[in-house]
Amino acid sequence: MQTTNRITANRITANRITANRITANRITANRITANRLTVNGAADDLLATADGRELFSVLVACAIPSDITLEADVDGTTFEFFGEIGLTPQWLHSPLDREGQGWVSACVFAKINAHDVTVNISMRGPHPALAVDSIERRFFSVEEGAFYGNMFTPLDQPILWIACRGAGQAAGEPGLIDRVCANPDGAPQGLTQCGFFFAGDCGDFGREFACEHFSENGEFYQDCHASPIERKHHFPEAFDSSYDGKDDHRRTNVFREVITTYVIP
Amino acid sequence: MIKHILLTLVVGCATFPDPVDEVTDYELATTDGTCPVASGQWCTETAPVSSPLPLLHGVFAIAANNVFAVGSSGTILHRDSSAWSVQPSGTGLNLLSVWAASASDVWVGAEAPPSGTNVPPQTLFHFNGTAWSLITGAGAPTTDINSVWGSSSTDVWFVGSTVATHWDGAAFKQFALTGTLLSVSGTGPTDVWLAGENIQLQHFAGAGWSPFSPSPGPASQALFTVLPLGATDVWVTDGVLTKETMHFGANKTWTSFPADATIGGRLTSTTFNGLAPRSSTDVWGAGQSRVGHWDGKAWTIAQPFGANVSLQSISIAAGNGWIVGENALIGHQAF
Repeated sequence: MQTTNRITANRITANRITANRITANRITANRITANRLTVNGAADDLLATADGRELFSVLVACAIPSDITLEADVDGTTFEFFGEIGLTPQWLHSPLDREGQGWVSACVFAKINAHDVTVNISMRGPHPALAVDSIERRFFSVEEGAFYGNMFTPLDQPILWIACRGAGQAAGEPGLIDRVCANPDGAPQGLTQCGFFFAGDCGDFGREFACEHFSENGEFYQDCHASPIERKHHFPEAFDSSYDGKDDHRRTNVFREVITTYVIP
Repeated sequence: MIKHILLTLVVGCATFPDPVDEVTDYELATTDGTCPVASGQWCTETAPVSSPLPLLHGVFAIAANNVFAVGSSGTILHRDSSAWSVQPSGTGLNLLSVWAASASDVWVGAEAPPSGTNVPPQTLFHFNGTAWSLITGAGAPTTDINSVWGSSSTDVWFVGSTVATHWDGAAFKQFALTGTLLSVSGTGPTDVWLAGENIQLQHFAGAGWSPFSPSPGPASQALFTVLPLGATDVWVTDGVLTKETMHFGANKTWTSFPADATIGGRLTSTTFNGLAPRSSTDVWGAGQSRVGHWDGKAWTIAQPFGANVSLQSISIAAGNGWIVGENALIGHQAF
């Protein structure tokens, strides 16, 4: 796998997710291919519209590795969809399970851009497909935040898209001027400027923070919550692996599939 | 004397190639809103807009004194010989791209409206020299239009989302693709190029779009912009570290050229959102907070508008260049 695979561009808008939600949900119940490289018919509705194909391109880019290209035939036109990151290659052969949904969702959320501009991001997380090398770390030195949740929630429930704010975003780094999806909108509902659920600051640089661990080596957050961990548990318990959090109901829903994003200054 | 120096920094802006990232007062300009004409320097011009300042996505220069800039919330700005003015667009959509065949034939592409709203789905606007109108005819685009380019008033391309739409002066024809289409440009009706995310570099030779071979990189590699200057003189920009620009040259292969620089003590890599040529050996690029200049051998990177901006588009005409971006930034250079 190439070392540049974690560096990815982002342009898709949040509206593209909500507008194609029904058809996007349908494909998780099936393996993504009908045979080795042809897209399953469950994706037909998604592929039938221009915006649906754009979303499907992002899903494939997140899920499938870069050495695989999927083909789909829609009304006599053959479309190609290119793998890129490779977070859930098992989706080629089986339905997307809960963990896989978490990884694909985190990747799609990280790629959303509220300003409809394209920015290169470095994705990092506890997944082999998200490993980074020293060059990528040197260039992508500004920490934006972390993204997690599930875009494939049942249709009678809201999309579970969550972001916490990273150290660079909290510090107002100028390289993040066009990356605001991990930035709170300031309204009391607790949303980010993209409409995601705002979980607070990711790490202990903030007064309240959402993630239990930070991998110093990999530079990514782990075990993140939908809202800040109780302040009374901040120090040192929240980052103490021996702490079980039994008395904090908000700790019970821990997201393991978390992608931390970085940009160039 | 101190005041004179400060004034120079503010209105005279930075001089290439020295990185002058400490110049951040770009919102301050001369009182008439246009730069002093000073060869070799980028300066800023005042956009006649109020807070919240729009993000300007696109700029197109028809002539030195006839420039259009478009941006968020329906913003359309026009520059004549003296200053910029606002033109009523009649829409609140985010306007992403602009191109003109003439002063009375200007096209603007928009971001598609959110689903579930009562806003008309069309995303293309036209200026006939007098007023702007939404294009609603058969085949008119209804998806994002990230880029517009044409060779004449009867050969215009609009691209975005997964659709490339062609206007022949009488009708639209749509070409369905995949990925996210970001940039279209060409040298003529049968030499048009298309770049984007999750799609290979595409070429149109008169019949249909097909992947260009050789490819400048892996199929999944995002290409932000494409600038063809000739059959063997084509630029694309990407996000690959130390290989941020790729050039297709006379040897019919792609050669990478870095757009890296250490600015303000920090290592940066610049992916240009836009490229604009004066000649094959005099090409300018804008992306993130940085401006690049190609002199035929290498890119020189600088930050003439400060670090706290994002530059989205660049256009050059008649010896003048314009760059637009975040917070209604309008940069200008008379070469």
